[in-house]
Amino acid sequence: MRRSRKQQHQSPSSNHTDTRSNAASVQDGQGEASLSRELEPSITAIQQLMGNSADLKIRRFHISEAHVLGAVLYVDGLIDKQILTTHIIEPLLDKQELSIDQGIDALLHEAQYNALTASHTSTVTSIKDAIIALLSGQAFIMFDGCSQGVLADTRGGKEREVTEPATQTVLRGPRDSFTESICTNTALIRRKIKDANLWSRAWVIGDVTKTNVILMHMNGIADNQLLDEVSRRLDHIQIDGILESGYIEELIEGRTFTPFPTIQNTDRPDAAAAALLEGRMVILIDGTPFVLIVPALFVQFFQASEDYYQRWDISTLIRLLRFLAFTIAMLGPSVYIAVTTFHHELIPTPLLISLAAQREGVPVPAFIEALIMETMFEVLREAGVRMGRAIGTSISIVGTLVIGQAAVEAGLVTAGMVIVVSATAIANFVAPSFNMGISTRILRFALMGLAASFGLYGITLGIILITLHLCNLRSFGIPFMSALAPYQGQDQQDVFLRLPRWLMLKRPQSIPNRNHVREDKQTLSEHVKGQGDST
Amino acid sequence: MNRLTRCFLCLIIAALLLTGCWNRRELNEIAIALGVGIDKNDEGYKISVQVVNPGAVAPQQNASANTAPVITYTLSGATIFEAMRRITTISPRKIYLSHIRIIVVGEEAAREGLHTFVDLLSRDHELRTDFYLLVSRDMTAEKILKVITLLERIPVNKMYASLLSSSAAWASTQKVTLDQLIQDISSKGKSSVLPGINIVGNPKIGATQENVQRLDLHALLQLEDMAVFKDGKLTAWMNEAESKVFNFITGNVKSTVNNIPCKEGNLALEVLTNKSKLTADVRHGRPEGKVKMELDVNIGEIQCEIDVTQEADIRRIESEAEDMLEREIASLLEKAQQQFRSDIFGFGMALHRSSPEYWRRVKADWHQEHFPAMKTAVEVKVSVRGIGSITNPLSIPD
Repeated sequence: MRRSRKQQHQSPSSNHTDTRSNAASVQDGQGEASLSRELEPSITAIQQLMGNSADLKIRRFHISEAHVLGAVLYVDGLIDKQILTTHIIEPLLDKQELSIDQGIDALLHEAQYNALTASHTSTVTSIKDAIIALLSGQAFIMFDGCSQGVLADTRGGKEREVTEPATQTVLRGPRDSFTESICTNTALIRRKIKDANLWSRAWVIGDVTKTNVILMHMNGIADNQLLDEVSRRLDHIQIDGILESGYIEELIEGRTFTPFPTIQNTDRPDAAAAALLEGRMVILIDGTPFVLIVPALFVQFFQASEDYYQRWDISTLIRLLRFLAFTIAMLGPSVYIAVTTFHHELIPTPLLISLAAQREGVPVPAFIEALIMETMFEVLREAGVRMGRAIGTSISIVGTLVIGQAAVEAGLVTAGMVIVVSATAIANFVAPSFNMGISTRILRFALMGLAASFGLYGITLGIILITLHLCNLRSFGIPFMSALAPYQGQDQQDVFLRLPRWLMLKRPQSIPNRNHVREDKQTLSEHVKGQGDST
Repeated sequence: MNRLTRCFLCLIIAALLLTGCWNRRELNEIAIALGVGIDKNDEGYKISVQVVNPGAVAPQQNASANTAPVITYTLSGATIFEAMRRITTISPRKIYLSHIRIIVVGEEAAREGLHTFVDLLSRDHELRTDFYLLVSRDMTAEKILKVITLLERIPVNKMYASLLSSSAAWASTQKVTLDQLIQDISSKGKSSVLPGINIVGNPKIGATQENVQRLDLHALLQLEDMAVFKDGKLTAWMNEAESKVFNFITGNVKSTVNNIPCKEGNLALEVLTNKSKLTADVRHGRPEGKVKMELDVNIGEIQCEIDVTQEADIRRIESEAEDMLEREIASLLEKAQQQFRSDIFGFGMALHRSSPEYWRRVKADWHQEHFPAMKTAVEVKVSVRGIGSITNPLSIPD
């Protein structure tokens, strides 16, 4: 199966990846061995290599006309039993034509091409290949006296349905989301982009887990150099296992020591398709509904799928709101600390008196107060995420009562601080992508420290440092702040604003691509003409 | 990474060196002063500072609601700065001056001159320049700052709010901020004017909680009259009517009410807009000042029998109002020239603009000699814009 999949892809690099991972997977010399001509020793060899695992099932049979013994091996749970019975076992037992007259190899050939009605079949000679195939859900058929075996695709078993996206929800827009199965995921993308130019390359990464990884790109749009760079980084991964896209993300990102994410992830097929159309690449990993989008730029984390589904005016306003929320989430508590402990003259008099009244009797400085509240909130949030849904709500009730009311009434914290912390927390949730929200959470604490020691001056220093750092970041060689710094006039169509569809004629220039034109002049003139007609 | 580390270190070092006048103080470590009173005594100056007692003015805490919303600390010192610092001996917290809204100058201190304490007020970095100055009439500033008020529980806020509302709706007062005062003091061509404040009623009971325990308060703070300064020293007071005329001349009237006689009764005009232009020229070697004014008014109240539907009658009202204002303006100008001998209107500044040569020669003794001798002309134009919701007075059947 693996070999056959490789035939579908054009990657020259996958060859050596396979060899490497195969070589590493073999723990003893026996794995290299070919199948024996006799049935039972082969079965025993496979059983031994798999440690006599209980879920390796063997179904022996006898073809009476030909007087040949055979066996079907499969791993329970990875296969669809219905397929196994109707497309493999039944045909083998029913087929009258199977005869030993032409020799055992002819019988095998006959079985593979005429008898088995499974959707995909192939032959193997090495035990190692057979085991890998078994573990990816194929059935392995052997005949006594033949040193080859037949693999038949019977993959099945339990898989999660395509459900609504859990993280990036929209009011208007497609409601499907990726699942844990990579085949479903590629199909979901292909259903959006029915074009022969949607190309993919496959890797098997993880010496032990042998996880399928697929890199998709639009041929003719995506930049070749960028494609080579991403492929190169994927080639170089050496790890025992990949359980989630986060593994790949950490292994291929350019800069680890930064609070900002330089790779985007999504569980929305439409977001992945949109990225492909902009010349980005999508990395799908088997076993997780989160796919990676590379390269990722700063502004991208403020764009939600829905921006493109709603009308442009509200999309633009909401996008501006997100940038505002980002600022609040990052600076809220620090500005409050700075202003109330250093710059009292900045606060309007009535507000100052009211804040001063709240602070009467509060035993700790504003900074410590903010730190306690922020930490408490992070603890609550973490508790809410880790606990199940049912307990999660009770945590939030306790949290609201403890943090909000009781703490203020007990005079431990000021009401003003509670308002600031909760406003910050809510602003934090506005971020369309969770990982940009994490950056603001981390930086918020750093800025609070600066504010407590240097006031607004410290905040200014912090902002300068953050800006310098952002401008210094790169995602796969592309400046992270692209479209803003370096400035791309053309791209302003989709940074702070979201222009009407027919004005966004070109693909973003920040991401190198081979075909700039998204919508050609022809279409535009027709569009304008069409408008003229209707008026 | 290495470069970033170095860059970061440089910034941290720079941050440590560059910190200017920063000072970390929690909100419950400062005493927020809202008003300051300055009086003269034998020792030098007597300073009264009104600071907020936040616990008592907070909306939700009822526990300390029966304590006073503010505390007024009073101490003396040779300089104001000294007295201000000495207040820490009686106040648990350091006085924080950035939020001052009103400074009350005692009449006696004002007569000795504003220069000395304006210096401190403008030199201290903590003070902003956007607070208003008042002069307490016939009493010390200390007494003014010790009256307990109602409605606005913080007395300084009461003064502040009265000043804003009276200058907006009645125009007998003028808001003067510190920077305006400094500008006036440092320029030779204009003298300063500050609004006055007084206690109506009994100051003694006014300083106790008893003051606010009945409907007819024992003591009230009233903004009245305006103090006229000459060379930074208080010389005379203008009464309410004169203060209003003064504001007309300087174009400070936002809205007010002016009465004109009308047969057996009065007719009240509500002034809507007031455009005033003050010019000065040199003619035949002598300065000549001119006040040109345009007013838009509404008829607010009619006590006599007059037909306001007739254009002729409206014209009559207009010319009556013009005459009256011209008379009042002329008499205030004369009073300023002859009695105050102080150019509170700023004719000197206008002259400086129109003929700088001449100004250079006369500026030394402008207030004393040339301003009193200046010829003045007044031109007022009044236009009635509206007559209100009804037409004729009820006594006239339609």
